[in-house]
Amino acid sequence: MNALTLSRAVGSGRVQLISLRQSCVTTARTRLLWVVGGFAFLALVAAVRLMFIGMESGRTSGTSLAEALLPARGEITDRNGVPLARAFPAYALWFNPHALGGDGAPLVGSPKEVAAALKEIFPDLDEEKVRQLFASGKPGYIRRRVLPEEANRVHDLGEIGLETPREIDRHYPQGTMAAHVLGYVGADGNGRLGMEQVLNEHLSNPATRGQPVALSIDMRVQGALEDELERGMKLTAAQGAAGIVLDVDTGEVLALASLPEFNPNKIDAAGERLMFNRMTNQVYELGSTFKPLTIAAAIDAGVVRDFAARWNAQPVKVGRFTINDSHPLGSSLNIPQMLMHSSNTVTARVADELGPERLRQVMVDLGMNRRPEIELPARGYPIWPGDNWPRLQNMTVGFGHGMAVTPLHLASAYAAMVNGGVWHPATMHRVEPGTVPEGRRVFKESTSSRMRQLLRMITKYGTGRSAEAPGFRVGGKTGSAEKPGAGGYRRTAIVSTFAAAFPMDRPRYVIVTMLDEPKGTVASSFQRTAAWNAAPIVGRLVPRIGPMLGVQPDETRDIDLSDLVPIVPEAQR
Amino acid sequence: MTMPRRLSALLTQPAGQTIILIVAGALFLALTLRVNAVRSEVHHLERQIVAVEHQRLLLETEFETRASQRQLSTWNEVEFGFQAPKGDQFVEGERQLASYGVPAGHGAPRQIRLAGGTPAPASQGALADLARVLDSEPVERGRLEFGRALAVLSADEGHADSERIAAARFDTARLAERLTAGTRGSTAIGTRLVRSGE
Repeated sequence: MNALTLSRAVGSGRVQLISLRQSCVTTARTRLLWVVGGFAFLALVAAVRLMFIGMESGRTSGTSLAEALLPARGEITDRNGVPLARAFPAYALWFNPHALGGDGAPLVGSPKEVAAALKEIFPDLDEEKVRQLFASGKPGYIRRRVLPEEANRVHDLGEIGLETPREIDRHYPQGTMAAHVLGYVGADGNGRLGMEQVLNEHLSNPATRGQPVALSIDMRVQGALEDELERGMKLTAAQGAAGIVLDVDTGEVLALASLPEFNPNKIDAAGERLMFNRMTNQVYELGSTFKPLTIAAAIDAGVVRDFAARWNAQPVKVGRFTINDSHPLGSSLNIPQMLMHSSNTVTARVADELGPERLRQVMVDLGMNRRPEIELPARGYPIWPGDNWPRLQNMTVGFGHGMAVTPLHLASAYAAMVNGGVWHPATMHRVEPGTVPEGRRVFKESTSSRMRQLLRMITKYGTGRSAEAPGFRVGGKTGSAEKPGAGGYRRTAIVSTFAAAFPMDRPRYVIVTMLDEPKGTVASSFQRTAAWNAAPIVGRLVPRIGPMLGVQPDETRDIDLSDLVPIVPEAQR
Repeated sequence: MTMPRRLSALLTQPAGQTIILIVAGALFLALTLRVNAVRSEVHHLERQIVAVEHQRLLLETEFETRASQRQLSTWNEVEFGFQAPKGDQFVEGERQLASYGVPAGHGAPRQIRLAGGTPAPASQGALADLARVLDSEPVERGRLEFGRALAVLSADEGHADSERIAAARFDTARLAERLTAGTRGSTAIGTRLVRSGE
C-alpha cells in the first residue's frame, strides 16, 4: 500500500466522519426544535387556557350574595324580634361505614368503645342502638342535631367513619315554648300545626322568606305564663292546663299555652299525642266565668239597674230540675254579692228575666256560636244549643252550662266586656299602632265600666281573692264546671277556670287560666275549685308580666268602688 | 417631524394601524383579566361572608338555645331564687323617693324636702350644666336689665362712645352673672367682679 492509497483512505474516513457529525448535529437540532416546539405549544395552550379562565372567571359567581344568605325557610320571631323558629345550617352525626375504604372494619376502635365514647359526649344517647348500627355496617344517622362544640369532640375521637355533615335544619331555640303556637315542619319541608302551617307559603316563598315574620307573642310573657301554668298543674296534679294573655284593645295574643307541650325540635309518637291545643281546639263548659257575661247583658238590656236590689237566692225549680248553689248563700243577694259568691240561683233568675233571645244575641255577638277567630288552624267548634233556647237552657247558659266553648272564646268575650264593650278577633300577628281593625260593639261603654267595678270586687272581696296582686288592680271571675261523661256530669272531674283582666282602672290585658281535672292536694288545701288552683296562677303571673307589659304597680291607685262598697257588707269588714 | 405628524403618519400606514390594534388588544386583554381577577376576589369574599354569616347564625342559635327562657327559669329556681318585685318595690318618681328619707341619726332634724315645679334635668357633666345655667331664662333677663342700666348710666356721663363702653361692661357683667348664677352664696365674688368691670 503506497502513500497515496493511504492518504485516500484517510481522506475518505474523514469525509464520512464529517458527514456523520453533520447528520448528528442536524438530528439533534431537529429534535431540539421538536422539544422547543412542544414546550412552546404547551405554553401556548396553557396561556390560552389561562386567558380563557381569566375571561370566564367573572361569570362563574353562581348564586348572588343575597340568594346565598336567603334562609331555606323564613324566620319566625316574637313581637320584639327574638327568634322563635329559624332555619340554619346545623351539624348532624352520620355513620359512613365506607369512609375508611377497603373491606376492613369501618371504625378504628371497636364498636363498643366508639359507642361508649359517643355516650360520653351525648349522655342521652342510646348506646345499644348505636352499637347495633356500627355492627350492621349500614350508613345511618346517629343524631340529627349536633352542637358545634359536640361536633368538635366527635372529631377528636379520630374516627373517619363518624361524619358531621352540615344540613339545613329548622330549629326552635326556645324548645317547647309556644310549641302549639309555632307548630313544626314535617319531613316534606311543609309546616304542620300552628303558625308554621298558616305561614307556610310566606315562609317558603323566595320572594318573602327573607323577611322574618313577627308574631304578637312576647317571649318573656309566654315563658312566665308557661312557668306558672306548669307549676299550678303539677301542684294540683291536673291532667293539663291552658292559658292566654290577650290585649283587650287590639286582640293581640301576648302568650298562649297548652300544657303539656310537645317539643317541636323532636317530633315523635309521644309528642304527637300532645299536639292537641286546649286553648283553641278543646271546648269546655266554662261554668261560672260566664256569669259576668250574663250580668253584663242584663245591665245592657236594663234588666239590672239597681245594684242594691235583692234577688231571691233560694233554689230555682224548673220542671223536674232544680238549680242550686254549691253552698247556701242566704235568702237573697244583690248583684255584687251574687258575683262575689258566684251564685247559680241568682244568675239563673237574672237570665230568666233577661230572656233567651237577648242572652242568645249577646252570645252570638261574642262569637260563641262559631269557631274562635284566630289564625291558628286548630280551632274547635263550640257545642251551641241552637236557635231556640228553652227556659231551662237559658238559665243554665247564664251560669256557663249547656254550652261548651274554647277558653279563647271566653278570653275574647272578657276583653270586649272590659275594654269599653268592643269585640275584636284574636290575632297572632303583631298589630302596628294605628292599624287596629275595627271591632263590633257588643256592650255599652257604661256597662263595661260597671263590669270593671264588679270584677274588681270579686277579686278584692269575693272568690277571686287568691288572684289579687297588690298594686296591679286585678279583677276576675272563678269558674269550676264538672266535666260531662257517660250518663251525666262526672263529679270527680272538673275544669277550673279563672278569667281576669288588669289593671281594672284602665284594663289592658285579659288573662284566662284553665286547669283540666285538678285534684285536691296539699297545695290547694284539698280543694278543687278555681279559687284554689286557677286563680292563684293569675295572682303569681300578673306581678311577673305586668312591668314587662308597661303596667306599673301602684298600691295607692284603684278603680273607684265607692258606690258599690256600701251595699256589700262583706266589703266593709 | 413633530409628534402629531408622526402619529398621523403612523395612523395612515397599515403597519401602524396594526401596531395600534395589537397594543389596544393587549391592553383590553390585560384590563379584562384584571377586572375578572377583582371579580373573582369579590366572589371569594362573598363566599367568606356567607360562611361567616352561617357561622354567626349557628352560634347565635346555640346561644339562644342555651339561654332559653326555660333554662333561665330553671337556673333561677335552683341557683338564685329571684322573684318578681312587689308593688311597693316600685318608685314612681323623685318625690316618692324623697318621701322615704329618714333622719341621718338619732335626734337629727328631718331632712329638708324642697318642692319644685318641674323636676331638674339629670346632670350631664359640669360643662353641660354650666351651659344650661347660662341659657336659662332668669339669667338672660337679669343680664339684659343690668346691661341696660349701665348703658343709661354711661349716656348720662356724656361720653361719645358710651354704647361701646356699655357693651364692654355688659360683657363683664354677664361673666359675673354667669359665675353667680352657677353657685349659691358666691354673690360677693360676683359683685366684686362687677365692680372691677366698672
